[in-house]
Amino acid sequence: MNFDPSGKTSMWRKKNNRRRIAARTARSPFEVRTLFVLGGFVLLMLVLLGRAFQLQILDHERWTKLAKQIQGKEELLTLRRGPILDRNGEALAFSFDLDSIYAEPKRIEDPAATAAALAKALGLPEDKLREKLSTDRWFAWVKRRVPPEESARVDGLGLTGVGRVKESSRRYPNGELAANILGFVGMDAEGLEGLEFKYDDALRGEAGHLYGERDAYGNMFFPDGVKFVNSTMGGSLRLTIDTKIQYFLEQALDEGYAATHAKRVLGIVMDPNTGEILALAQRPSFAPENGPKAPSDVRLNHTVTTVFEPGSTMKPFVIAGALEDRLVRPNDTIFCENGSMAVGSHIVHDAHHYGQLTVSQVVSKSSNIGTAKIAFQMGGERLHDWLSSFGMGHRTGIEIPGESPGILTDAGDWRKIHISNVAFGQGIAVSPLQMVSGLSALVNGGKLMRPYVVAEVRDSGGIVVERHNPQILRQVIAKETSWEITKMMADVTKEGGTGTRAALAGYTVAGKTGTAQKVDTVRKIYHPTARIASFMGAVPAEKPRIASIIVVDDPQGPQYMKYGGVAAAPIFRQMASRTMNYLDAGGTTTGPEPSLEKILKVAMAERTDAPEPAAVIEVAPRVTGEEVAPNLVGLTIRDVVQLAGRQNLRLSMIGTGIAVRQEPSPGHALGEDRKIRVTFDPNG
Amino acid sequence: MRFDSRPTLFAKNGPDPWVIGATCVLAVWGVIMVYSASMIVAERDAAVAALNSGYLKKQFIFSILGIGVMLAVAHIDYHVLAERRFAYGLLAMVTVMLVISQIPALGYTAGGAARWIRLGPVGFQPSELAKAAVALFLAASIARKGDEKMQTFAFGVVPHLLIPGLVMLILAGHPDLGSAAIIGGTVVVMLFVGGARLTHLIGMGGVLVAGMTVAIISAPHAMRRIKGFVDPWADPYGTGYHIIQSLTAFGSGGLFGRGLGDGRQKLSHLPAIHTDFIFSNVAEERGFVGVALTMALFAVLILRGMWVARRAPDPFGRYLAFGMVSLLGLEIVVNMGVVMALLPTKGLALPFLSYGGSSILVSFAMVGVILSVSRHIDTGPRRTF
Repeated sequence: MNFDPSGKTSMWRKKNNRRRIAARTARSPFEVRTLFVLGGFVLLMLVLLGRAFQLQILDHERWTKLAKQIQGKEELLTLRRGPILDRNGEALAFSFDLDSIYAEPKRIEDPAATAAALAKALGLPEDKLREKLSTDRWFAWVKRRVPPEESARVDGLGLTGVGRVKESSRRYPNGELAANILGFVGMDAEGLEGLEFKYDDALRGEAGHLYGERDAYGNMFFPDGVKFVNSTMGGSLRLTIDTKIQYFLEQALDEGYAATHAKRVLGIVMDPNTGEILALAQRPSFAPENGPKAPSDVRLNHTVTTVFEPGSTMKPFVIAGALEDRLVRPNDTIFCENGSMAVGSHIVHDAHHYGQLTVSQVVSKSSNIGTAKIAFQMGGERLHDWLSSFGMGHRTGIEIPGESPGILTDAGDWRKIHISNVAFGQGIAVSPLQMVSGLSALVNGGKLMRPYVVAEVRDSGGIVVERHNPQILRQVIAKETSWEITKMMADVTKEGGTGTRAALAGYTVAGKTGTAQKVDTVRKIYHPTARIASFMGAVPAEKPRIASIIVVDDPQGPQYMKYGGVAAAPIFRQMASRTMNYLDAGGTTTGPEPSLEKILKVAMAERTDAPEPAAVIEVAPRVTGEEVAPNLVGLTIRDVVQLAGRQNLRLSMIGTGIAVRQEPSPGHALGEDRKIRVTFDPNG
Repeated sequence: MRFDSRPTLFAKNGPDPWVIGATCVLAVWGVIMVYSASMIVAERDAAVAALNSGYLKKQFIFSILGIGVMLAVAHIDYHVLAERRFAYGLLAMVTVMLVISQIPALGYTAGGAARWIRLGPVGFQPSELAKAAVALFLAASIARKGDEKMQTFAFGVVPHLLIPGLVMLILAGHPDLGSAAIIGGTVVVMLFVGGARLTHLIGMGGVLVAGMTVAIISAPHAMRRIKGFVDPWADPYGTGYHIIQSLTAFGSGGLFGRGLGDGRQKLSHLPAIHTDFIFSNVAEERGFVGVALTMALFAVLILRGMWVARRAPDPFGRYLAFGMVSLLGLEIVVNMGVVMALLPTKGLALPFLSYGGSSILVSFAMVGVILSVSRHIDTGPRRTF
């Protein structure tokens, strides 16, 4: 088409004129269609304005929160955790303030001179410090939690751009004492293990902080200057632990540990009338102040987390059940087959060749055959019910994290040999805590008490926010039965019994020895020589004030040295004799009597809160410590990685931000692979 | 009234004051926001500080230059642009430049896309000019075809689909799907107002959408952006990063904003905040009020531009003004949609506000074209829309 401007123009004009005439009557297609486009544009702009309104006005808070996360960064101060006290108010853990020294490098005019002075006052390498102070940064820590004299020296220097802020330091004045109960804290005084972990929320208080802003590279700056908000004091715990008894127990364990060359020794002392834990310890242990560096096997509280096959200490529970069921009476005689009895294709042995034994003697001489015969009379189902009733296979609910329920398999799977094995404590696994609380029920008149170690939780103002009282879980056996079985157990420590080395001058000890074959975890068979020796006992037998169990895991030496009566009983005696002297001199064990109301409440709770079924196992029960997952929820990725590193966990992480979920959940068993899946969410 | 070889003498009016006013206010606003977006509160880094004053200087200079270009273009008679050597020649030239910018020796890349061409010390983004060139081509071609031919498929649709389609293909290869999409949108709008049959338009729209879909799926770079758009939280530090940071800027701005210069997202949380995401900075520092006022300024420019187009004395003037307005309007809407996470693409500047010489100069030139048309309109009493 040839382009001719003038011709075109005239054509346009004609058309234009036509359109103008038309416009008076009707709109041209161009006008109509442009109106559509115009309307579309207006509509889109309104949509955009609406979107801006939604983001900026309606969702403003949500995005502001995210903006703070993206743009802000908090330099956290250590927590000022509240104290953990024993039953008499003596501090087992407390916090005290120390100065932390920081610098504002931007404000320092002469970094070299400042660095030199600071390095001298604080004993830091000067070159590194000079480098730190020579930057253009707004804030840098110089040295945290310094001794008072160093802080005073820095103060004396009067340096500009150098400041001090109070930070807390966690102290455990008794060293290793009660370490496995208390646990320990991390770098920023966050509870990582034990009660420090379990009651972290109550103890931690509000972390002090320095709020700054940051760019995308993490560089911090402080438009309003470096201003700290101090940490606030957390709440406190009062435990049922008696520092003295704890000390007696730990001293006895120390000596026993040295004497037996065992892999581990464990001990618990409980008030059988209330369920209060008076002492609980293990060797080897650790100093809480170095807790994060201690090997995980030592940090784990084996008295509640580890289950073991108890051996003969199980027998009194079986006999008590048989007495209660009127299957036997104390003076009934039982023929003990002269030391060996065939059960199916197996042969059950006694340590000595006994003929006729009374039921009392079956206990005091610890006859396997006698107990097995009584158990056969009882039957598997009933045996299972009795042990379950004494608490085997159920968590006690103690406040210490990571408790194991033990292993009590379903009686339906028991053949005859299993019944006899369970009756003398093999093929069943319990924690030392379960044993001592069961023992308490045997000797205290038949009440199963819930064991507890935390008496009170107070807030930072000293107001009690949680009080734990003695709780009767159930009346397991009648008072008379309790008295009968206690009498039989008293014979154990008398002449002719297996536990004479636990006998105390001036007191009758009702006890029971136990010697169990260890399971070879690799080959899943019983180890030919390795044993777990234990002794459980209550003093004084007439009206017990303490109930205790001592477990010696794999004592070394000739075979007879591995018997419960030889390896564990002396440890008990040493602890018990000092403890009884102390108690008789005025130490208190009995807590406040539970009110009727309380007891009723517990009874009601029991009805709805049925005990969970026992774990069913296919292979030989494990005797090794079952490790549980730490609580990672609420931690940042950095903290999770740090903690996982310390505990040798294999992490698999999803998302970013704050940990919101984990698998396995806190307190649940870790798999063999120590794998833990953590999900993070930027919104926490 | 008639036009001759010196048509400026016959212009009825001065350039439209509303269009000039809105544009100049936007330009000033742009200089302020670019300076704010690129200055660092902390001023940690002298080198960065120097760079920032560089941004300010450049934006200022380009805005002044742009106003000059705008006035110069406004001064010429737009009918000259209908001549083939302009309308078709410019498109041919830009197409060549687009191809050249992909040759490694001559062009250079930014943000993963070959978008620049170097002419001595000056870098130039031919894609910005390409959009305007396509709009000009469409205006000239549609006016030339006339109403009757526009209704036919062969004359009304085929050339207007194929020629811009070629430019879009080259752009998609850069890859600059954003610009390609803007051109596609302009083609549809122009043919719609140019009187093409709706059936043709729907068919053509279908072809364009299908083409874009294929282009997106075949380009991993575009596909990532779609994913980030659909669920930014799936990968908040990867594909979703820009969107989350931009929305954070908007949301934390609130009603009145954090205050000019007090934005935080510019502390490298939101990269490219001074270019494609400048509107996020407006939102963060000036709040919903600033966003609404900025949108109002753009609306004045666009609506008044349409008003001019509808009153243009001849079809070419109408289509030309409308083409420029549509292009600007699309760029505005798409950019705002992107920064508010309503649209998936990115890599498009916000006219007048975003930092960037090519975008500013071309945008001003396009307003200049609208102004040129406005000088020939009948401003007498008449129904407005």
